[in-house]
Amino acid sequence: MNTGFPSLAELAPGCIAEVRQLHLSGAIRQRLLDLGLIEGTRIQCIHRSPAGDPTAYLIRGAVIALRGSDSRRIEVI
Amino acid sequence: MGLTSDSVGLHACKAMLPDRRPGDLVVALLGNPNTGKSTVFNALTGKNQHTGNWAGKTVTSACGIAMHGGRRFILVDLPGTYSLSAKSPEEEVARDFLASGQADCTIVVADATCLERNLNLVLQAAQLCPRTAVCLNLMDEARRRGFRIDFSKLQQMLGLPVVPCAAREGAGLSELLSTVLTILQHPPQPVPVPLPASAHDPSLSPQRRAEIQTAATILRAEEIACTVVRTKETVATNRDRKIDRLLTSRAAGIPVMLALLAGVLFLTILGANYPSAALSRLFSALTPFFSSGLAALHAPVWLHSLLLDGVWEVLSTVVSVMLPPMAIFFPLFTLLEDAGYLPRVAFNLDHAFCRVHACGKQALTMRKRPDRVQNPSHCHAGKSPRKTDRPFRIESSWR
Repeated sequence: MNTGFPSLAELAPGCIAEVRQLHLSGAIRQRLLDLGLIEGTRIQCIHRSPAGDPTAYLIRGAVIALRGSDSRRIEVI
Repeated sequence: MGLTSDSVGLHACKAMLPDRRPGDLVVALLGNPNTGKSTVFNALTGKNQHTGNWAGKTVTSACGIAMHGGRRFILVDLPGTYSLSAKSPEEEVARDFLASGQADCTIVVADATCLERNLNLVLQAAQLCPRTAVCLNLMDEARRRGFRIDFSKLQQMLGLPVVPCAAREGAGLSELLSTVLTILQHPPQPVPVPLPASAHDPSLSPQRRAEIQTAATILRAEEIACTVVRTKETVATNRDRKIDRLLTSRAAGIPVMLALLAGVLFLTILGANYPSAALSRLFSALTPFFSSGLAALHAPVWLHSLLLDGVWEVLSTVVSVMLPPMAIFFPLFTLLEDAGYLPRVAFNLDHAFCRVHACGKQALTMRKRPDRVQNPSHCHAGKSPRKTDRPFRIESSWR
């Protein structure tokens, strides 16, 4: 899926990326910011669920599951 | 129907506290979900607690009484939240209660195995309520996983007292209440979170300002955690990761889940047969005694029939049929939950649940705890888009 920017959804299991921007708004944006997903945060993809979605990520020492609909809107580098 | 702004107000908070006598101390208990906050609350209050609902919200509340050092503490168990930014009902309840000033003191229960994430809430709570103490819970788990925490450095960087606890073992709890008494005499001076210069720009929108504040708090939490926590990858952590890979893998994830749940069901149904039969025999054996007792009292036929063929018969049938399965199923399910398996179930099933406009966490609704309350509006199929607006976290450890 071409979102125009490299997104978290494309990160393969085992790889690490850095968050650049959240293209989300509303409650989900605030929730992700509170969980530590601010600009410059390193995030590692742990593994995907059997159905492919959601995916588990390691964010600041905690394993958080994010759905594709959200991770596609998180820009990373 | 629906929440209105005046269904939530200070009067709602006041209505919740039990009979408050002069000299009582009100202590708010705050913390992330799954930090053992309920364990701390239960250990401190024992049976002296009552649960209910925060007025106008679907969030459960609990209040309890604890005695220590000759003083009476009223503990208010606030809902588990990650922050006080007031975007969800739980956060609003917690923030409103703290801002109302009703609490004489706040205890933030933090997970020692995940300190960086928990410090976000600690720093926010300290801003709102300077009389805050930090209860560093799950110390037994932290030791098992090889974490070392420098408590005095943590106290110094936060400007707040820190009490290490292992609430499951009852350790550290009396020190916690003693610390509460101390900070009432000598209020701590929390170290404020340093804000960047851009935060003071008057042309910023409130939302942007809030985001800068959040980012500054997160960075400060990271700085403190990096300084204070020394960790090494232990055998335990690697083993946890391997188990997770098995339980949520494409090949084995669903079969293992089905096998475990089928096993629980099988044990319940098979195991319940024996006690059911025994209870049934017991009740049948008792029936003649009641019958002769009623006859000795010269009870009329209609009363005899009502009590024996009606009440007693129904009671004995229901108890012998229903009680054994429940007595087997719930402990088995609790074992699964305490082992930390249920979030993996939610993780595996979320995709399928989303297809029917629900959420993976609703696979867990069989057992609700105050910290994990689901807002019922999320359950209405196809209604508000909020139902999938929360990421959920997986417990990163096995207990």
